[in-house]
Amino acid sequence: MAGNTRVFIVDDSGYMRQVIRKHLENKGYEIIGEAQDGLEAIQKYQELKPDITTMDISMKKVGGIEATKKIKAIDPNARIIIVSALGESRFIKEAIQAGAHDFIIKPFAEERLISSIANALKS
Amino acid sequence: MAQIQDQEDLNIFLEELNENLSYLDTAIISLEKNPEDKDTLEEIFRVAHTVKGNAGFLDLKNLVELGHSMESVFQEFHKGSLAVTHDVIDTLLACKDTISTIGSALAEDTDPSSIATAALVKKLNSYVEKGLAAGTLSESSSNIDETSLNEIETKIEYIPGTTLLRVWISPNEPAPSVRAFLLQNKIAQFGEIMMAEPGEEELESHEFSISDRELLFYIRTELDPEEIPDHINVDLIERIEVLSEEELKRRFERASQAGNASEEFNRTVKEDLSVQDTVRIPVERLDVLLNLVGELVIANSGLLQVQEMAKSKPELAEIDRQLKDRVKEIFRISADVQELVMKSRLVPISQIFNRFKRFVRDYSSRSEKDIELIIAGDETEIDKKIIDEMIKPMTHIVRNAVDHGLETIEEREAAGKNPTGTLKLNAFQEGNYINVVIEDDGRGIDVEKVVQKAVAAGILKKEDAKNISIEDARNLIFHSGLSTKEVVDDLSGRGIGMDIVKRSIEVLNGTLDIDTEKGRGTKVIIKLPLTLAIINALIVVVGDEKFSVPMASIVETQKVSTDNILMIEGSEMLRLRNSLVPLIRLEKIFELKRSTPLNSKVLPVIIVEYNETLVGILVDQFQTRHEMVIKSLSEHYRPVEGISGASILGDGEIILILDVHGIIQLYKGNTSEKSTRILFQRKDPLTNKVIAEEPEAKGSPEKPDEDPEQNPEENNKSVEQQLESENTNDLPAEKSASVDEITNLTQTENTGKQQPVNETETGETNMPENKPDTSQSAIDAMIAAAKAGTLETNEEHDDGALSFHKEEFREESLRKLQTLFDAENRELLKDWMRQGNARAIQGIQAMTGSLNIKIDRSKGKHISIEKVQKLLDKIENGPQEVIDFALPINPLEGGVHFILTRKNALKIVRLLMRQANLPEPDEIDYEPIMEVTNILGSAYTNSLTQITEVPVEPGVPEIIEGRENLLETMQKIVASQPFEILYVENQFTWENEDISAELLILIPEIKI
Repeated sequence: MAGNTRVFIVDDSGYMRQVIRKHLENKGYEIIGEAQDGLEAIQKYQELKPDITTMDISMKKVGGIEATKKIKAIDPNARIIIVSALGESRFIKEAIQAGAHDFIIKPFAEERLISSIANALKS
Repeated sequence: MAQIQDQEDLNIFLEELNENLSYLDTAIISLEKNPEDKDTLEEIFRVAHTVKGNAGFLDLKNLVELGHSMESVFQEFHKGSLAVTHDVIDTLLACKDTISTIGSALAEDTDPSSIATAALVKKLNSYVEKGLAAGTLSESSSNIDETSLNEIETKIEYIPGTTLLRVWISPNEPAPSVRAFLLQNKIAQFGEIMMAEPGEEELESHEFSISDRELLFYIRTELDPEEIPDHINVDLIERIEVLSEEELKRRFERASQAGNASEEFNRTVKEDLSVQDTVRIPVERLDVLLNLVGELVIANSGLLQVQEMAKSKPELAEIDRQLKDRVKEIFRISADVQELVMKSRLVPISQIFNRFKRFVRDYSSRSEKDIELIIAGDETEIDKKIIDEMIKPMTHIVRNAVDHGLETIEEREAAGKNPTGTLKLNAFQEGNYINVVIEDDGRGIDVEKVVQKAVAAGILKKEDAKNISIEDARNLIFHSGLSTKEVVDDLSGRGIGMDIVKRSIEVLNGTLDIDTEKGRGTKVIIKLPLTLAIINALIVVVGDEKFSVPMASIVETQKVSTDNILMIEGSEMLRLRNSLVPLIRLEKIFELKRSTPLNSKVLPVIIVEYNETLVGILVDQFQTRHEMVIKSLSEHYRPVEGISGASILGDGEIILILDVHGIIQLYKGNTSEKSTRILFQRKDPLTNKVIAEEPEAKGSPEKPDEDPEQNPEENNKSVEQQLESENTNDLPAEKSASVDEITNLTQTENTGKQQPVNETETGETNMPENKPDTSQSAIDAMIAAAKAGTLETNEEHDDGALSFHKEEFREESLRKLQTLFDAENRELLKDWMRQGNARAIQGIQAMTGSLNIKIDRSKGKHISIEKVQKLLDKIENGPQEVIDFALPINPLEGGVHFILTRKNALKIVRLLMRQANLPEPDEIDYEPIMEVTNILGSAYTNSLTQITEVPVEPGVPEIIEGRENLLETMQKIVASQPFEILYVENQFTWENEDISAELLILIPEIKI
């Protein structure tokens, strides 16, 4: 299943993108693109049509929650997993209301990301 | 332990524990003398049970276990199967001492779980076994099992019409609240959550701790119970159990029966103790009940419509008649149920008053003051919710009275007063209101001095001070500018925070007045509505809409002639007796449409008071006064400015309740039109579908005749200026324009409608040149705006709903954060450091693998400007070149600085890359360290939020090599001339890697 899954990574940190990419490629997921802010994410999402998007919250230009809202508006079936260090209830609530499928608090273990993606793919 | 977060809860727990322990001490000893004394036995059992119950609430496992074993021993005593021997009594006393030790550990904030209880528990259990062997009751061996079963099952409630979902969260989720929010969201897609455990409030505050792994959702759904788990596709869920309504009922009944049958002893205790037949009901359940009554009324209005249909057909006359009677009857019964439910929410105010008995006694013994507390009217009943909300403001007022108001014995004697000071708490009902009076006979407030201070602080003009009335002078105490510490410190501190206290009372629809005389004492009079859930309101008609206005906000109602409405500097003003008051038209605020134009020469006006100033609200018609049950809008919509809730009238009509304060804010033009949009998408009470009404694009159809050309934007401005003298804390409005723009666009898109941008109403003048056409998609518009450079790189704007939009909220938040600078109370700062450091280490450990990272040094202090200068010199002349990763903490001025040498930076980068199985670079790659900075920054901001409940958030990190950034930051702080700077210095070291880094947090003193 992992082999056919196309993942889009959104994070303002190149390092973080690399870490996520590495984790996922090890498991056979295909990384089809990266974006470093919400605006780029919205733009690229329309071209890429990924199966899964991982989304940071704290980013320049447009943050992850706003980007999630916009992407969900374009594609209500978008599967977005928030990956953020902001673990406060209000962010979690906002993100989930915005339509995020799951919320992973940074830093996280590799298995956590994999299990979350596997779960998201079920929906 | 993890659940103990609220210091106040802990204090209550400890207070109660101490009382229970002192009882146990004497009771156990007296039991030894009179083993047959059933009364003492029963009371002692009850006390042990309470201790156990409270401990369970705080998750103190060893205490629960100990309490449970003690209970069992008393039970055996009671049954007569175990003799009261010297040995058992000794053990019980030892148990009491151990509990006392656990209490002290809690009070000193050390971990009580390490205190050994196992040996005592074992000993107690051996007695119990002995008693069981003596066996007066053969079935009692199953007693304990059944008891624990009973305890588990009593967690479950039976709510008619609901299915229960019990969900267990996997221990791999570090933040269970994430799962709770996800579940809430999923469940809402196929059902309605009637009640949840933990509830919404608990989730949003930070009380939902790691140990709560089981969640309960009582839902209404069309789905079959067995289908439900398939609809909940959430990761990290261990198990889901679904109990259908029937199953729930059966289990609930079985549990209560089991409880009755097996806990024979318990029952006898209960029967003896219960003077009245009472049961405890959670307030949430009453809330649900109240909502259900509301829905009953709606359902009945559906029936009413059926009756109407029958009415028109002569052949159905009999059905019409019968139905009419039934419908009437159901309305009457609903009203009765409603009243009953309201009454059941009332509890005696002694619940608050009694808290102060111990406080005052302790205070007296600790200080050089002798204070007598007189309590009167403590049986007066008031809504439970109000009681809860009153604790903080009341505590503040009482503290003020004993700390500052009442004098020492010496001072009182010198003043010729009774050496014993009196503090009097009194409550009494007056109509639909409860008056709470807190009165002391202390030194009072020197009003003259307050006036002087007000003049000095620039709040009051010198010439006005001469003619100020006593009342106005007293009201200065509530002025936010005077309530700050420095200003009133020598006014015996009486004013500190009084503005916040007053506001928190006003939130409860109450009022607060103060009466004080120098040398004689101070009297604070709080007037509260009997209940929060019911208000007395006036129904008014505006255009085609009806609203209700809480009577508490209305000063008077008037019918005014249009001749008395004047146009002054572009604003409508009403001549009211000898003064002019601003006039608000609701149809403008809410963009109401009007099917028939208004042609009257006499217009009804509601006069309301806002910040001591009168404001008029123009309506078309007054209708009746009604008592109505408030239903919160927030379950269905996001908060709507100007509307505090909705209510259902007896005939099922839904009516919105105006929030007068909010309306004035809207009028002042601080808000864009976004909030008024949602207002007109209401649910049809019969079909439950959203009725969308298109608000008219432009304001009211009828403009004031005096000046038809007047630009409404002008209008807003000049009124704002007029009101400004009453309200000093305005944020620059233009900053939020771009956010509003985005929000508006989002809504356009979500509702699938085009909303014309009404520029004149909102005054959005700084729209980009290539202003997006509303037919463009929201995304394109945003992209265009961003390209044009108008979308600032600003976090708090982007996810703006979370942030400091509301100026009032901002001010209150800053005030809370200001306590970090409280020189007398360093606890907050210490707590912050403790929690922040723990989280920071956890974060970095998780990120870098199991590395040996520790904090060598952690210092938090306040430093003066001179010290900063020295620090600057030190940094400037330091031996090594450093890199500073700076992370702003919004909305504060300062930020987190992660500072390390180039050499160490490279080491950390290589470490992180190695950890992530990525190639290790030879040169510094900043991004991994930025990520570390993010994690560190979040650790400290998250903890700060948790401690102060103020949402501070990390911004986007920035790097500047060399010392420039840090220097510049500090110089900026110095230039802003604060009194002091909060300076936190933590040194992290990676032991085996020989890396160290400094983390500085710099926050200039918060100015409001």
